[in-house]
Amino acid sequence: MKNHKFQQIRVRVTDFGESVRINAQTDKQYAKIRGIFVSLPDEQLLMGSLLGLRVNNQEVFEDAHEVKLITSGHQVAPNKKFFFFEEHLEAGGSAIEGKFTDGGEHVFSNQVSKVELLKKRRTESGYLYEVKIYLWLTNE
Amino acid sequence: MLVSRYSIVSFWVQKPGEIISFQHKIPAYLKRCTGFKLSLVGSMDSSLLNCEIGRLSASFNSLKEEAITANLIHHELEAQDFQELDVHLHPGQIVSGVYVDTTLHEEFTPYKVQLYMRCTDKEGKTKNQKGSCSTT
Repeated sequence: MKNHKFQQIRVRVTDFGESVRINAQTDKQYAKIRGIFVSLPDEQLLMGSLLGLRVNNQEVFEDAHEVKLITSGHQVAPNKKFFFFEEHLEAGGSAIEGKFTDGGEHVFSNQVSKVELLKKRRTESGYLYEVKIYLWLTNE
Repeated sequence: MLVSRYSIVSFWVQKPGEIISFQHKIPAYLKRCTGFKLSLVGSMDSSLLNCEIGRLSASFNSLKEEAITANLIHHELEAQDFQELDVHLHPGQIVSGVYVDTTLHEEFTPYKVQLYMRCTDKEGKTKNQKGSCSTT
């Protein structure tokens, strides 16, 4: 039996400044949520992005919590990237609810080409980008 | 088991030199504040890089303890760490404070500021306790 799992929750952001609701359930085979890591396709997208998180209806992060405070960029070693929860957060099929809010178009105010690229991407694929939220589940 | 929660005060600064006062209630189950961080949400004009854009002070427990004084500086890579704080909270107490914009910029753009207060439900010190040393 494995003791660790990195459960992925994917969130598709379709528009600038959009808020997307998150609903998921943790893997039943693991007892505890040890940490979280939020992966965005571009570090610029971190600016102004917010993430609210509730586990079993218990608020862990308010909806206004900035993603930049709970994640890290490429410059951080892969095994140091996670934000650890000090408390015991029950996994074992817990209900995960949350809200991801995009930082809006103004984060690229100095980079017109980047805004154009994202707009083109939205036209072609129907969304701007995908956020990957990793929950570190463990039995230890 | 220790519970850590982040209580957030958010406000928009709409004009240069604006003074914003705020009052914020921390949930009654939280007993102690262990850290704080003042954060600029989103980005700002690159000409303001490494410049101070505002100052904040905040008091706990009916203005008895002015525990937070901080300035907000626009950095390209903002540090994520919290400044240490050790304030015992009275149940349901209100944090009062003032933020003053100090940007001296001709083209002002409204911006959003957030004050994070990291609080726990435990009364005693749980983190960063100093080790003791004795000699005989």
